[in-house]
Amino acid sequence: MKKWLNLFLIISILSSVLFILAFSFDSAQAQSGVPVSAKVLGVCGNGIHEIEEECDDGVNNGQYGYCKNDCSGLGPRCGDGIIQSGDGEECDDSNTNSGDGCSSTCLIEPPPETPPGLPYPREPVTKVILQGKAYPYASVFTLKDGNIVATARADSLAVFKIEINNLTGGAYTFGLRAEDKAGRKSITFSLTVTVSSGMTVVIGDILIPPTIELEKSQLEKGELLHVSGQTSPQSEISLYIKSLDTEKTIINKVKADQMGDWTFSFNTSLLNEDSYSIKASALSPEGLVSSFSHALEFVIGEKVIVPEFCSRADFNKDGKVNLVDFSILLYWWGKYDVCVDQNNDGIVDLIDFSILMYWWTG
Amino acid sequence: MTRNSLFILLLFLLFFPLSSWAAILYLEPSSSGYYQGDTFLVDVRIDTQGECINTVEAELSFTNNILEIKDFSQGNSLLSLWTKEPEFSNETGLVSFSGGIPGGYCGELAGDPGKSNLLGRIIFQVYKSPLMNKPINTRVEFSENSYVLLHDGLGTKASLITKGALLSILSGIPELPRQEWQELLKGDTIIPESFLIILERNPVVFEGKYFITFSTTDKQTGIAHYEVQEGEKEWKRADSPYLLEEQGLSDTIRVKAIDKSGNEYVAEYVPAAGKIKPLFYWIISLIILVGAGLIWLKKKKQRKDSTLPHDEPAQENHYEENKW
Repeated sequence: MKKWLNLFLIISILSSVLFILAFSFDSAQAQSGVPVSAKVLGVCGNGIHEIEEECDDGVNNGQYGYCKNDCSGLGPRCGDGIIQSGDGEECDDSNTNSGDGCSSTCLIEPPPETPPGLPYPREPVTKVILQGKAYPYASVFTLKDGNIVATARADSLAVFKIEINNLTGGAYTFGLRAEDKAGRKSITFSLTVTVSSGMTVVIGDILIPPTIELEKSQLEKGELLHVSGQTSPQSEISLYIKSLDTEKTIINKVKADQMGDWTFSFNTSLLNEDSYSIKASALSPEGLVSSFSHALEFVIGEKVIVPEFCSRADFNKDGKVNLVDFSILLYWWGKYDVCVDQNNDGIVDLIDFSILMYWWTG
Repeated sequence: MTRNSLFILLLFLLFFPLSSWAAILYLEPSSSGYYQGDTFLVDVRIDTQGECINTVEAELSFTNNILEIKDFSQGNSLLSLWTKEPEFSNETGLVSFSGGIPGGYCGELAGDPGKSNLLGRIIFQVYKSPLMNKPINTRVEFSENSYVLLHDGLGTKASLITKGALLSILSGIPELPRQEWQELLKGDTIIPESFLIILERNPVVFEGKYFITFSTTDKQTGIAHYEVQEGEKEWKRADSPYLLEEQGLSDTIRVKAIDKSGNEYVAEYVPAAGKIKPLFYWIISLIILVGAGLIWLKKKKQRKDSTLPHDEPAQENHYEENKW
C-alpha cells in the first residue's frame, strides 16, 4: 500500500512540476523574449562565400583583382574591359590572353621598359546593411548608438533597405523605428552587432514592430476595447492583454489587411475591474517575426489613471525622446521634478532613466 | 507523509528547480594567472538570456592590497549613455558605473560575428610586494548594489545572477611584465565616432538659459573626456549638458571628444544668431542707406520747389453796392 502511495505521490509531483514549467515557459514568452526573425545574413569580408554573396576574398575585398567591397561580384581586374591605370593597367581587351596586343596582365605588348606600379590601395569600407519590412510607404528611421543616422521610405510592400557607412569597426547598436501613415510611431527596435573594420555586415529578415493605438484608456466593464495600428501587409497580429495586478495574460490574434492596417475589438466583460497593459507583435506571411510594440495601459472600472505631466518621457514636448530629454533628466538627477519623475516615486533616478530608454526615438 | 515520500519530494525539488529567467552579469576572463607588476584587463559583460534590458548599475569589489585599478575603459561598450561615469577607489577597493542602451538590448543577435555584450573594461595592475612570495588567489566580485532594469517601460528590476572572477597571483616578478592596456593605447589610432552639438533652451533647465548637449562613443580605448570652446576662448573640460557662458550666441561653439589614447574628434556649431548677425547688419545698413537716400531726395525736391517764382495771389473783387 505504501509503495502505491509513493508511486502516486511521484506521479503527482512530476505532473505538477511539468505543468508549472510549461506555464512559466508560456509566460516568459508572453512577457518579453519573442524570438524575432532578424539575423545576420552574411558578413562580407570574412573570406567565406555565403548565400547572399557572389564572392568574398576576405581582407582583399575591394582590392584590384579581388571581390568588390560589398561582395556583389568581382571588382576591378585585368580582363574586365576597363583600363585601371591606377592599378598598373595599360590596356584591357576583356581577356587575360597574351599575344593579342594586350598581355594577360593588361600591359601593352611588347612589355614596357619599366615594371608596372603596385596596385592602387583602396580604403577599406566598413558598413552595415539593414533590410526587412515595416509598413507600406512608412518612413523608417535608423539610429546608431541612439542617434538618427539615416531615413528611408518603405515601398508598397513595406520593404526597406538601409545602408550605414562611415563606421570604424566595433560593436554598434542600431535602432529602427517606423512612422505609419497616421503618424503613429513604432517602438524603437534595437539590434546590437559587431562590425569589423573593412567588412560589410548584412542584417536581414527584420520586421519592425507594429504601431498600436487605443481608442480609450478608461472603460466600463463590458465596453468594447478598440485597438488598432499598422504592420506589414497581411501579417498576423498577436495581442497580449496582461493584468497588472495578477500578471495573467490573454492572447488574441487578428490579421492585417492588404495595406497592413489592423483593428481589434475586445469584449471587456471577460476581464475584471483592474489595470491592464496591451502590446502586439507581428508575424508576416513570409515568416518574419517582430518583437513587441509599445505596451499601452488601460483601466476597466472606476480606477482613475493618474495623468502624466510628460507622458512617454518627452520632457521638452518636441515630439522626440532623445539626447535633449536625457540632458534634462541629468539636470534633475537625484532631485524631484513632476515631469521628469516618470514613475512618480518622488525622485529622478535610474528607473526614470530606464523609462526614457524605453520611449527613445532619437 | 512518510519519510520515504518526503525524501522523494525533496529529491524532485532538487532535480526540477522552479527557477525562472535571470540576466547574468559576469567577468571575463573568469579565472586567470598574473605576476606582480602585470597590467591586465578584466571585461565586464552581460548575458540577458534572450530578455530585453536597457539599464545597468554595476558595483564591483576587489582586494586593494593585491590589486590596484589604473583605469576604466568605456571603449566599445554596449552602454551608449552613462548616468554615472565609471569611478573607482583603490582606498575602498570598489569600482562602479551605470548607464543604458536607448531602445534596449535583447541579447546576442543570431549570426553576430563578434561578442557585442561588453559593458566596460577594468584595467588592473598587480602590486609589487616582497610579502607576496607565494602564489595567492584573489577575487573580483559584483556587489549586491548591482542591478539590471528591464526594457518594459516601467523600469522593473530584472532577476540577476552575478559571476565574479578568480585571479591567481603567481610568485616571482617577470622581467617584462604584461602590459595589455599600454599595448591597446599604442595601437589605437582611430578617433571617436562623429557627433553633433545640440543647442537648447528649456524653462526647467538652467533657468531657461541656453545650453548644449552632446554625446559620442569610442569603439577602441573609450572616451576619456570632453572639452568645450566658445569662440576663441580657451578650451575647458566639460560635461553634457553644458551651460553656455556666452548667452548672446555670437560665437562658434566647439566640442572636442578625446579618447584614452589622445585621438580627437571636434564637432562645431555655428549658432543661427551668429549666422544671421552679419546678414542682419547688412539689411539694417541697407534700410538706413535707402531711407537716408529717400530723405535726401525729398529735401532736395523741397529746396527746388522753394526757389521757383510764385504767382501773385488773385485779388478778390469787392463791389460796393451803390446805395441809392
